[in-house]
Amino acid sequence: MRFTRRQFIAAAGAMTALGACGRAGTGNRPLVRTGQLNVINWAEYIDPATIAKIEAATGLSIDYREVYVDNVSGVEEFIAPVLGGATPTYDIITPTFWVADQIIEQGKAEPLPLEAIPNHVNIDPAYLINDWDRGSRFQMPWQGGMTGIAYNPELVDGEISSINDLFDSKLAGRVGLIGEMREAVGLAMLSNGDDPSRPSARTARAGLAKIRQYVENGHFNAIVFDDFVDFLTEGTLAATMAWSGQAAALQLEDERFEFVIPTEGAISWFDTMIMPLGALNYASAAEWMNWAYDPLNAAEIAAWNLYVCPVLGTQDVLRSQGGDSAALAENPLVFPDADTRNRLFNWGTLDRETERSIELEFDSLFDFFE
Amino acid sequence: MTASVARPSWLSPDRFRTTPARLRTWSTVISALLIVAAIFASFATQAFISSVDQVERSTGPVLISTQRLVGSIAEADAANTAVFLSGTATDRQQQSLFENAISRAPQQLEDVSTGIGEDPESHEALKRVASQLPEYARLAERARTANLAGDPTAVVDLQRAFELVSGENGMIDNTRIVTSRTQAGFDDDLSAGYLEWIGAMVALAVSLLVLLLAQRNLRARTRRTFNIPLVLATFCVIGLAIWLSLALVGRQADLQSAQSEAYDSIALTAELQTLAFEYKTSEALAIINEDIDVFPSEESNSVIEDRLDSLLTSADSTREEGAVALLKARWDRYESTSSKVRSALEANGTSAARSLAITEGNADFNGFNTTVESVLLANRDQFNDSVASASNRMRWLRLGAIFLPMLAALLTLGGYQLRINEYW
Repeated sequence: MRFTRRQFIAAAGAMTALGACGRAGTGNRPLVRTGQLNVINWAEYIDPATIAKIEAATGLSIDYREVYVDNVSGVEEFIAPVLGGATPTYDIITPTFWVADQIIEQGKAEPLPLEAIPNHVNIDPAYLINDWDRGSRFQMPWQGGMTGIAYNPELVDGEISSINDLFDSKLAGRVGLIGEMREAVGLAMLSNGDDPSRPSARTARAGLAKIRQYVENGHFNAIVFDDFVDFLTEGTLAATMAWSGQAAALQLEDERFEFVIPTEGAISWFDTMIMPLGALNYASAAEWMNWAYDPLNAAEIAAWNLYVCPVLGTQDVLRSQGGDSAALAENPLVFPDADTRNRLFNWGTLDRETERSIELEFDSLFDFFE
Repeated sequence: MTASVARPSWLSPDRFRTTPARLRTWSTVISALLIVAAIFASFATQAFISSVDQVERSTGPVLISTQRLVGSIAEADAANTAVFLSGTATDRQQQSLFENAISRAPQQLEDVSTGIGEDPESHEALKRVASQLPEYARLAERARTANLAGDPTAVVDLQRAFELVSGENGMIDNTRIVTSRTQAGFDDDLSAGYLEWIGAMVALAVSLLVLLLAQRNLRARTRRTFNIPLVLATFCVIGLAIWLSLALVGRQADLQSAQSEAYDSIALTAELQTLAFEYKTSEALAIINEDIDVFPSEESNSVIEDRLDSLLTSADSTREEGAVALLKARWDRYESTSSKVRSALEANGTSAARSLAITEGNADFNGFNTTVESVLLANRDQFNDSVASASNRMRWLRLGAIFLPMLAALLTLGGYQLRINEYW
């Protein structure tokens, strides 16, 4: 039997209660090299050629699958079984931070073997201060990102600079809604003048109500994930809530498109590498993580996916390489400067029950697009 | 062969001169002794369990919570200083860091308060922190808004805020009191239960001696080599004595392992965190007052480096060594930035020093501070594992301490009754 997205979110509540009694390992698991590694990641996060390079550098045989499409289905398919006690079929998975938070809370993440990951020291301190994993003991950020607005100036008849521009009636029926609740509701909260980094049930529900209103009246005509690129290039959408990395890549391919951090701000997030409890190739996973956190290798990854790089020293590496790499080092979408960082909002903490009910309600909006 | 005798009347004094009466007296005395041994063994067990409980529920958690509280104060203060030094209303991220850290602190304070038990000195120290914390937040906020408005009194408020944190009898001093009281408490917990154990062993030894005498006495009277129930009762007493001794030795080994492998590292890391925070505060004061003399000295850095080396030496696994190596690298990174800040200040480049301190310097300090927390939490897990092992040893001991002497008493009564029955 397969769950629907909505059934899964409801079931996840019960699972949280069940898993709450779990406890993570204490980090004394021995490092036994198996030579194998299974990684599950989102699409277009790494150049396939880089995988071969990692294999050559580490001697690992890597099964790399880009099958993590969104957090709800990703949790359903890959994470829920592990939370339920099954032996994981992968060694590293890269859910968004709030999913990692729940895995760690339920004691289903392996503590990182720090002796095998000396490059852990290169994690940007901005990623170390999360209350749910202070100092990053259980996860290492893969890439960060921003959810802002991508648009085609020719189709919107001018510039878009504010989130409220997305709700302008002149764009009715030509706007995309991002399919991740925290990002969509977060942007709506910013447009309402509320702070998504300090959400309350009232402000979050107000953001959701605004989105519902514009879904019901047909203003949004698609729920998008990384497919927003296709919708924009086809012209189905004139503007959409969009992820920075893919938007930046789109801009490189086609200069017609713009990506903006709205005046009210954008939502920042990160997807993070986590080893599920009982991962079979624990030592290999540590090798992968250490490889990814070498600034030289991180530069290669960042230059390919154009997402926010969480690895200290990468910017310097790119600068030293000159040419396009040096230009990339100054791209605030990959290395946000102080001004950009000040305009980014991380989704804050709501109580689990409220968050789940908002998640369910947001998910019900998918019905309008079926 | 058994003798057949007429039953004496219950009231007759002869009743106590008969062999069955003597046997009954023996069995009653031995049973009473075994009950006394059970009571002593229960006291000893209770003392063992209480000391392990105390370590599990209080000593370890209090030390960790206290340091997490120090971590929050350090993070709040670093962010507050950065907001102040940047002097702009738009440094939302640092302001948010400050507010988050300040909002975490009361819960950590509560955690410490719950764990410290009855110790009045610790409670007094915590009370002071509880009143200093909101006052600190108020002063920091007032300094920030005054600074934005260009009010020169802002610096006075900020310095008062610093005083509340790291001045004499400030929050850091008060957390030190809690830490040292907790450490003293741990030493007490380690030696708890010895007297009770000695009492139980004496009671068990007396019981054993009397049981052996009883066996000898019975053998003389009945010409039978062994009274099986009495032999079993003897084994029960010996078994309990061995079990109690092993529990004491095992508990001691587990708690000493918790102390040497985790607790000492926690204490050292805690000290390191406090020293680093004081270093950062001195740096901020030097920038604010544009006074290079206040800047943390080389000596301060050496002290911290020494503590890091000690931490590395005390690491008892490659994993812990890895964690300390990360901590050292994070400190070196911060210290290197701090040196640049110093050079900028020395070159009268206050603005460059400020800019470096609030961006790279602050990020590097947060990197170090959160890595300290990460090391602390890893040590806490190791500590908990050792204490849990001690706790497991006690799982059945409480029951055994009562059950075995009682069983021995019943066996004694039964064994004697078998002999007494032969007289009727």
